[in-house]
Amino acid sequence: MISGLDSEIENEALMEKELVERAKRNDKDAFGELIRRHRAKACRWAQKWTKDPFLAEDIVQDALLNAFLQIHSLVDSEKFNAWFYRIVANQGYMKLRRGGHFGKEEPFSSLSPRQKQLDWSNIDHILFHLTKTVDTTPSTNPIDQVIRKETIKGITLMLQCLTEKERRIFEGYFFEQLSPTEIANMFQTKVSNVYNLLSRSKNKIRMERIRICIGEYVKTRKEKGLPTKRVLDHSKLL
Amino acid sequence: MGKSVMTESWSSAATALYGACVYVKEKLSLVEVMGYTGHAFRINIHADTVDVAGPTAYDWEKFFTKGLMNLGFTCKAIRTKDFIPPTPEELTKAISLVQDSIDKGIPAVAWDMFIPEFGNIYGYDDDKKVFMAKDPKADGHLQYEKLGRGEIHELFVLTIDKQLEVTETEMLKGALELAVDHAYNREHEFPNPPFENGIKGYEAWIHAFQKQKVSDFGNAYNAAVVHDARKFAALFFEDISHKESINDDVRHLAKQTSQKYGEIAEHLNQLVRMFPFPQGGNPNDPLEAKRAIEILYDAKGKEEQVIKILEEMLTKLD
Repeated sequence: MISGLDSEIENEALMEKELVERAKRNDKDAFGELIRRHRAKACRWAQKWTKDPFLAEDIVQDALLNAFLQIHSLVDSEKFNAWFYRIVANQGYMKLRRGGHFGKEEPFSSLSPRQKQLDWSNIDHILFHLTKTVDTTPSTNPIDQVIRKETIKGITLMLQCLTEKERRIFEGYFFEQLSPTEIANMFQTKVSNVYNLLSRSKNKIRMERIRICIGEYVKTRKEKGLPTKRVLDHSKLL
Repeated sequence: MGKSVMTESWSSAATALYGACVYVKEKLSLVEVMGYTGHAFRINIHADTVDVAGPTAYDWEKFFTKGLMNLGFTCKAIRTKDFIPPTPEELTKAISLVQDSIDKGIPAVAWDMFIPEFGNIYGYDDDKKVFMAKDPKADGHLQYEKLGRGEIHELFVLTIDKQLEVTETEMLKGALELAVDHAYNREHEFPNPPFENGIKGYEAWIHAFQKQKVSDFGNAYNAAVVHDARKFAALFFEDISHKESINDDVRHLAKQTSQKYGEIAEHLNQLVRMFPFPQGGNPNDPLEAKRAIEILYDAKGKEEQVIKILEEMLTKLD
């Protein structure tokens, strides 16, 4: 029994090592699997540490994003655990440093516009602040007001259950609904920064649109009964 | 006497046009494509820096259309403005154009697939959404969405459309007209960037050396392309001098022309050796620049003489 359990643990360790190696090579499936394995554990750990389930979830979300950005810097695959928890911890420290202890109602309160260290490239932060803006500076048109609020709420909810690719589409959508000035006001940052952010997001959505368009084009061709594949003998090409 | 055989050229536009045309006219040679499409006679120099963009910075649609007419083809093309990637609509139009051509058994010509040069698309797979394509850098798969989003982010696709009846005399006349027009008339709409073609191209090159602001990489590339082109020009007129359908006067002049282009190629070969691609040597070293200027004056003098012979040839063709 004991030796069986040992070998199971050993297998687990081996599999994890392989997953990390694959994740380092930008394999998103492997990364997703690693996150799934560690997420619950990390949440519990962060919750215990912060004594706040909302904040804990928030910290982990951010940690996941950062994890993606830093996956290439992983040197020793066996140290994934240590590394992942360190990111979680760093995120937690950062939040506490920014906002001190905050209640369950406002897990983002550390990100008030007065704070200079705003992460304005984080769409969750943007969304949160926008929700607040809609409430504090209502539009003169009540229907518009409701639509805007619902849109933001909807996006926020959807973002939580989207794959990264799907999330990119919605990020693009979101940035197109808002003027740079609105976002700039929210963050009290330079408009040029917002334009850069918008430009990046627009590029992302532009590529998604192109993919969708190509998909439709290919589908139409198929429906018309046109050939789906043809390769010419290319030995005559120089 | 058979045709001159060459299997590669520094002018990727001509190689790619060959890659389409030869699927319709099997006996066509690369030398003929270089000559009749005018690429053997091109020189296009950025007057300040001899920039690497020179050899490919011209109105492709206009030049290719004329050149293909000389070979007996009409064509269809889609191009976005400089440095503007295609909209989804432009992209799907281009994909459709390419697929229509491949369905007819003819590869398409496209720009900036694996490298900013011309190449051919010879296959497609809708399920994988990829083209099979070849350019000077690679032969492999190119995702549909990457067409027009290579290194430069602009789209150009050309396909052969219809075939026209042309006589060998008409073909030669068209090539001579292209060559003479390129030698004398600036083909650029705007003064900037300061590209100069034909005889003025040599002058621009000389001025750039005098100012010692020459790009080593660009200079080496331009030297290689123009040297290669003139070698083809020599072979093209050598082949013309053996054509029975062409009258004796013209054949005699073609022989002279071939010799002259051979001499120009020899001059330019000295440049190629001094400034090897891609390292490019030291074009802004005063002594090197002085020598380069002497070589370019020699080449320019011969180019002026050869254009006069081409003009004479044109009068004898009528």
